[in-house]
Amino acid sequence: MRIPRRASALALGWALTVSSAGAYYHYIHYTSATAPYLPVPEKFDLSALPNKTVTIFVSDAGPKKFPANDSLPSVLTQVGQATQVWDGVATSDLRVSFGGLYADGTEGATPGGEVVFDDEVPPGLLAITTHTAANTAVTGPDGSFFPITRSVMHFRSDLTQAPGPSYSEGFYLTVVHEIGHALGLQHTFTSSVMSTAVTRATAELAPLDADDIAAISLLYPRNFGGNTGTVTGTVTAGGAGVHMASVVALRPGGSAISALTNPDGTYRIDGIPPGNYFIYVQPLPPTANITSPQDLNGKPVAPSGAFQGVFYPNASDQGKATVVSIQAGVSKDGIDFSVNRKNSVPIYDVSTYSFYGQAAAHPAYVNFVPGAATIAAAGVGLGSNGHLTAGLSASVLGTAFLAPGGLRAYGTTPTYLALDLMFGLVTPTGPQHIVFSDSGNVYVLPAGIKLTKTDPPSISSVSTDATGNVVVTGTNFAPDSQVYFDGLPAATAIVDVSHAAVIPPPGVSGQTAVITVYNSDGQNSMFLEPSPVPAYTYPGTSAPASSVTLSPSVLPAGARAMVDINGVNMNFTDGFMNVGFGSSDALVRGVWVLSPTHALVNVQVADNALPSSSYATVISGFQVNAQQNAFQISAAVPDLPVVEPVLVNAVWVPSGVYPGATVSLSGLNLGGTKTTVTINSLSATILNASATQISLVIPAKLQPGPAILRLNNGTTSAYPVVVTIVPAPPSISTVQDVSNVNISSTNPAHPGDILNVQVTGLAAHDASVAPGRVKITAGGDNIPAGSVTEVNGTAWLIQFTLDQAVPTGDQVPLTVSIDGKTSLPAYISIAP
Amino acid sequence: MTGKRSAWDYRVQRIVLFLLCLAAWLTPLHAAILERLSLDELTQQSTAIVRVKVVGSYAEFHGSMIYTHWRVQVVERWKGPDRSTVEVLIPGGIARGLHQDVAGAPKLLIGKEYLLFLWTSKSGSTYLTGLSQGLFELGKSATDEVVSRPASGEPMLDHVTWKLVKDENFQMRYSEMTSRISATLSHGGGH
Repeated sequence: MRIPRRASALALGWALTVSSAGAYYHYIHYTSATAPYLPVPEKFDLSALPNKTVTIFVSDAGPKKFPANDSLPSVLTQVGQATQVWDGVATSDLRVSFGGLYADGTEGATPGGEVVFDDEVPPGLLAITTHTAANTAVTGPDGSFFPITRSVMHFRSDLTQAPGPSYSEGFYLTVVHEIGHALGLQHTFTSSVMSTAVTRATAELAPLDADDIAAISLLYPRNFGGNTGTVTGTVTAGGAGVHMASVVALRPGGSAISALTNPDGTYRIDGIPPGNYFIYVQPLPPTANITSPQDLNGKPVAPSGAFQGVFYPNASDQGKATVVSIQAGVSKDGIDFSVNRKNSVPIYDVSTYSFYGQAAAHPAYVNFVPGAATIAAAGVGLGSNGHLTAGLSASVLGTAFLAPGGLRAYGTTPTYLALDLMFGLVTPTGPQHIVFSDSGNVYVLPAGIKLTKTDPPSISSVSTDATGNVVVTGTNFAPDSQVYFDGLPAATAIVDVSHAAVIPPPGVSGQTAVITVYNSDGQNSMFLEPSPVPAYTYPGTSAPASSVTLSPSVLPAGARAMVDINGVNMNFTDGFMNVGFGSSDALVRGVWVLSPTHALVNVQVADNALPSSSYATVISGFQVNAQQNAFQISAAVPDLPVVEPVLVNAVWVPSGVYPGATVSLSGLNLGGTKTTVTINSLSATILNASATQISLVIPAKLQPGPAILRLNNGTTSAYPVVVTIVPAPPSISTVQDVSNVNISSTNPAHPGDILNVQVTGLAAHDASVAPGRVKITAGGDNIPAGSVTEVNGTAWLIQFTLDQAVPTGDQVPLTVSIDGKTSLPAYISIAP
Repeated sequence: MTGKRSAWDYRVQRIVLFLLCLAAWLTPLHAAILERLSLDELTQQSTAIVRVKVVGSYAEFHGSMIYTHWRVQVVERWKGPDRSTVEVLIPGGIARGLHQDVAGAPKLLIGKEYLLFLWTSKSGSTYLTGLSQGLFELGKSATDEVVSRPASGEPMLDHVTWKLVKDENFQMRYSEMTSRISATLSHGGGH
């Protein structure tokens, strides 16, 4: 076979720089025509994103037709919250932001994502989602990749069709799923959010599963892998490698994490939390809807085809499968499979359902308290003409089990299965996995059953009390139940199993919002298909016109700046406010609500942004004020001082930025000896300054909260920025042994010792401090407080026991934290 | 079968059918979601039906989407404006050094003939009706010229029940196909 010279050169270049990550469910290009196959993914270039943040927008055209009780603000809240889901993955270095509305055709130098509703969709086509990526790879710190420049989710403008209505859990999970695609993830088969809706088993309050977190973290790693393990191996059929087989590590009662095989059958699953796992391999279903990897010439490398699924080690019976123990930081290699080819995939696309009267839920949620339950399953290969597929059996990988004879077929075309489940005396809540076996073939459905201790919540009435709060009455409310108004979680206080008191999110007079109660076990009040759906109508009959002003409304390329926002007939509310500027070149990095009509935001404009105008969208709950061309980017200003709006404690980062703290400020053109800095008009003492970094002392008289920092480099003022000042943390006075002798080099502590640490500033005088609020760290080792006692009216004595595994040395840092506030360290001697 | 079991059977069928419909409604939009169109519906909802020969292509951005523009020469026409050439837009392609891959979007071959069902939007752009559903290849059987279309692998919904349906391979004699099209049009399929 002849390989073009250019492609060979590319391959060599890639081979030298490529990441060692396995072929997860990313959009993959292979770097060579032969083994070893080095997958190069398509992903966003973090170095091209402001603050490593990709922004997702919604087209200002919006949907033109809505179902009853649905609206554009509801769509916007769902998209906004879906971005927060991906933004919240701590082990991913990619941040995700919602940028509000944008005008079609808005150009930006920065990559981003768009949700588009329009009429340019021909009959017979409901929606298209795709992303644009470069044709040539680049190399970053984590290896080579093809940069994604734009992602588009293209819908018809009629939301009465798929995937509406926007207030449903299904719409929300679909948006989370689609944004996952936009970020570079493909479908997986572990019932996580990146699975198709047929098998997906995640829920509103916890939309991501371990597989989703592993997927995004592998693509954009940040401190990822240290606490997880790896499995590697090969899948072969007749001695030849099987391409695009789905290999899954599945924990009983827990989650599944997976990868696809390379063309030679090799695979690597990273990001597996420690524990005991079953490993199994399955073929891709015909409905996988996965874009095949591309070869050096951009041609798709197709999957190898169907085969029989098996557990490791080649067991078609789960009872003969071997449990693989996964440890953090350890790769379990040689988990190989030898599979038998088939003409077609025997079983796939299995969904499970549970029933509540005439209503049903997918996946099957089962209250195990009664001791038995029946669920239904539907899927390809389970049966036909009202009969089970010959030889089909089913079992549960978990603590539930099938009753004898508890697998029955119903219906004709299609044919469904009823599974009669029973539960042991000791049954945990959470996922249980279903295993279907058929003539040597194994099909595993992770989380096919969700065990619960109660039936789903229901709502019988929604009323308003004298204070204006909403009272939701129903059944099966849990202490951690959350009430949603359309797609927004409201401030919820659960009174008892039947009552919740709720403060509605900011809304619009006359607006009707659908009310749903979500329990943390995944169940929600829509399971019972209430009719009519419970709803709340905001007081008033017509919404007064709102307006918003921005100052400044023009910023140059490269700027970091505070923008002052004032609203009329708006109700800015902390936690419900989102501001976007309709261009991927303008990133909102923080929002501070000062009053119902006054807020501040920090904005970062891309260094390479071109002059442009864009939307300003100010959202508070369901209140949306969007103004076209309300924000402008102007040409970059040479030598403009630029202040990065993040201060860092220069002594001990976890202690934060508090009055009196010594902190570092970074930026560009910051000046030197003539530089002045004020924070809320109080002068900050500058310890040293360079063009890119300044050390300063936060004025001691500052009050905690948002504060405006202004810098002049001696000739020019930077745009002011908002910084957050936190309360002063506790301060360690002494660390003593139980004999009240100070710990020192001559009186070192030892692992297992009981120590007393005296601190000030822990809490107010006479306050009650539960030990559970107080955390101690010694050399990075987290230690619970044993007791917390106030002494002398101003100080607190905390007693704790050093772990046996605590690090030893002459200068072991010890800190005390309460409610997230962490002291500066005291350095103590700990001898072995 | 007991009465209780019959009730269960009925309930399972009813609810699972409903939920399959719901699940399909909510099928993620990784690439495309199709709405199933019968041959009559294809005929009625298309603004043009033409037999064409592909003569060229190029790709360019339309907003954030890349579309490949396929220039086709009209060989025979059953519906639509009388034009000798048409430019058909199909999502995906390579433009400005960037690529978009849209699973389910067909690629044409230059020099080859096809039977196309086309839809022109208010903006004047012309697309395949129903994505791959509107593209038929021309071939020969032992005795006749035939038109065929492979089943789409994309999620497909029935637009009445919104139930997920399985697409199937399609093949028909060319003469029969054109007769069906003509018959539908003569019964009010629109021009």
